[in-house]
Amino acid sequence: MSTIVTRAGKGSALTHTEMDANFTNLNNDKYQSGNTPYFYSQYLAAYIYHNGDTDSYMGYPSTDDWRVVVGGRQALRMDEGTDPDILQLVSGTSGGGTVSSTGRHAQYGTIPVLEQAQTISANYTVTNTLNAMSIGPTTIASGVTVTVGDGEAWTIV
Amino acid sequence: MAEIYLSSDFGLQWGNVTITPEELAENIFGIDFVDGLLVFDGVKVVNAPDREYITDSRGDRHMLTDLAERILGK
Repeated sequence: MSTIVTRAGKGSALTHTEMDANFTNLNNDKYQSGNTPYFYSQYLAAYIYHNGDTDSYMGYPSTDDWRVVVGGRQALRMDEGTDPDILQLVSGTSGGGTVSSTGRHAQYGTIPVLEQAQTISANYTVTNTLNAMSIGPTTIASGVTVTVGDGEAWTIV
Repeated sequence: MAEIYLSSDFGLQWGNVTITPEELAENIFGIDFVDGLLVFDGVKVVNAPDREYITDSRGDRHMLTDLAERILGK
């Protein structure tokens, strides 16, 4: 924050030097058009909007909850309270998905190859009403159980 | 209907049916039991209502009821 000497604070009229110092301090500390803002450990607004756009933004609607909304549709969400390992890929019209940091991941890029762990090392239950797929060969680690519920399927390709 | 449980320790459990890992590997192409661990490759495990089956890596369908009867005589 810039140092400013005010008349009220000083209790008497400011000198020319003090007036100049006020402007110099303000000038040194200002953000100017074209500058790259830099913030360090500052609390900002809960939502950051694209200029002029009211339905595309990134925000923290609640504690430990991060979301990206595009065109009014929630596209990404990571909620530490719900599941700290899951990045939710959310779509309001064509379904969504999740990317986990533990045991499951997809690599997208210039090479159209999906990668996946070779071993199921924690108990896994196919989510109700969904089917599951693994890139085989897939090994079930000792002490681990894979559960395929009624109406579900697990395909190892 | 019952859930299908798969484990390297006990094999396949479905209701009161238990098929050991060795039996699974012997009867289903695409399921191997290597160094005490079950390995699945090109296999589909389907728990459809009243139509529970495993499709092996050759594309042949093994109904769990038939599998249990063949292996366990149940």
